[in-house]
Amino acid sequence: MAEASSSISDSVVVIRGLEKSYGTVRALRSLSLELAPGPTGLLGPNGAGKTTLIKLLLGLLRPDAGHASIAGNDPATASGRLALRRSVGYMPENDCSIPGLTGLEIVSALGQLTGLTKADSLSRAHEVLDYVGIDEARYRQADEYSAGMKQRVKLAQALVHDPGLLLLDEPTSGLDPKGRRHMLDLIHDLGHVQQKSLLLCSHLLPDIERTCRDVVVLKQGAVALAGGIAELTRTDGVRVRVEVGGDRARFEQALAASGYACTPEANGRLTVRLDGRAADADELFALAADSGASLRSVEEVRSSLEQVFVAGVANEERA
Amino acid sequence: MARTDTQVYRPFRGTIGGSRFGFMALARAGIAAATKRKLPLVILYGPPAIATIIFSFVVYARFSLEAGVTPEALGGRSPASVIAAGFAKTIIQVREQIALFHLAMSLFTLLVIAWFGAGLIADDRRLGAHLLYFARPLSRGGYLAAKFLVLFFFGGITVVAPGLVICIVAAFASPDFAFLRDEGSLIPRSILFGALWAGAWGSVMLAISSLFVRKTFALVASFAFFMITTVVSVVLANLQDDNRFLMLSLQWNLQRIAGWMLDGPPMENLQWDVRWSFAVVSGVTAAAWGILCARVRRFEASS
Repeated sequence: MAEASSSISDSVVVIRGLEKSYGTVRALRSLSLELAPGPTGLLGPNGAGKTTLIKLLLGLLRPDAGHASIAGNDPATASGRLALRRSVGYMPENDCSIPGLTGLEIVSALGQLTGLTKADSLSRAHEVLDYVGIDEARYRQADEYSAGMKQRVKLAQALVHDPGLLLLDEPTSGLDPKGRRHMLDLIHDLGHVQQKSLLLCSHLLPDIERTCRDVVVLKQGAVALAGGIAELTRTDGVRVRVEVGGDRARFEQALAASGYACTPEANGRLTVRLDGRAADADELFALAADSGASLRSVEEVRSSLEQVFVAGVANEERA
Repeated sequence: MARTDTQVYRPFRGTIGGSRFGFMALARAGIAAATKRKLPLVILYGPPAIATIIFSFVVYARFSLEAGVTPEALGGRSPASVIAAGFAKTIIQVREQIALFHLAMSLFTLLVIAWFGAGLIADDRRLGAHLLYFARPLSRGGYLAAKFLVLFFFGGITVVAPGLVICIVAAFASPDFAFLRDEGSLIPRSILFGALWAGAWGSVMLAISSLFVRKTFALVASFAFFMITTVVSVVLANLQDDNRFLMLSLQWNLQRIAGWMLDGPPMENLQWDVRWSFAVVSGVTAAAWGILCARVRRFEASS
């Protein structure tokens, strides 16, 4: 969960009252947040303060007020900054490369810079470049890479020291559909299969929805919405979509008699509002059996993250 | 998701150290990147290498002539050997030859520093490399040390190596290694001067590089700095008929220090108190580091 429900000891990132201004522009407004282990999306329109937050977490910026702790280290102190950068992998949004080096040399050199031995960094560079799908091109100058390859090398360098926490700033930026799909697959694998904690910063809702478990929505430097995507996208009063076989008309009557609101759909299915009743699914099956119908499938209906995002941002504006 | 047997994530099993000299990796990467392009290396190091060979031969010829060998015996009647033998007769001490080498090669040594130094920070900014560096356990001091080491390496080769080669030739050419006994202190002095030269010009070059986002602009600015300070100091010295105006130029001050440290041949127009030259060189170097610290602080914060 990306909210206060997690205990501090469980949280990989703890932020308390963080503020940052650039001149008269307030980038972050007393931001408080806790991020639990696992994949979390940091969502928000341009200028919401996403990149500023990541820079503050890495100690690249100094906050005007407040405190942050990342992987147990304080980015405001020199020792904390150096320590946290050993346990965090950062993939910047902008194009970045080391002049004159090949992809392999870049990843290897950055591994050494993080504290790996020369031999370890070289073998590790090969492993992570394999993982992101950079093959023979790793021996070519990185300046000549395509946008997709540059993005993958950026991910590889973030992984070279096998950090527990990844900060990924717009990782799908500038990618074609195939490259985007590959990048999202990698991020999904890292977050869900490799069990890495990651903070995925994006303004693309589908990317977050596909790869993250929790989400934090920033708007004008403040948290507009935070929580598990599953919880946030569940509608008020759980609804289920049922596919009915047999006597559908009698089943609809039985539902109405039992106080369930149902809406027929164009594809012959029914959407039933459960309104928080316990053991509802069982009751639906019982009603179907009594009315001579059968339920072929029952699935929960969720609102899309986009609807939640729009609603959350709108609520924030009203507040 | 992993698709092939190679596209599988493998956890790292080794250990991550916390060495304070982690910046050396960055310095090594910088040197490796700079040495990939061979043509600039040949062009920039060719003339100093040739000059080193000639000066070494002159030293060898001088000791041989002292030992009674005739010029013809040194290399027949080839023009090069005749010229070298002629030099050997007129040119005096080894220390003076090292000082003369620095004077003769000053343009090339500056070219080396400018070529390798101009892009060191400018290219990092252009390609966004500092975004990658400062997300690592690398301090600003470590970053600057790495960049400085790269430049010190390339500058040092140009300034220190020729002096050492000439000294080694002199040591072996002199009877019973008399050179080491009589002029042995020249070796550390030569190294020290090389370090001072590479340190001062390296700092200036890095500071200039930090002010631009393109290597070309930094290169032009570095030559502008050299030309303006040198030309202005010469013009003022001539207009005012006072050679102390030459102290406005870093290059003239380093020449003055070279003359003092290496006991080079006296140069009439560089006769001011050498402490002034040290003060100027220190001041310029300190100013360069001030600029560097301020700029790199901004790079880290803006990355």
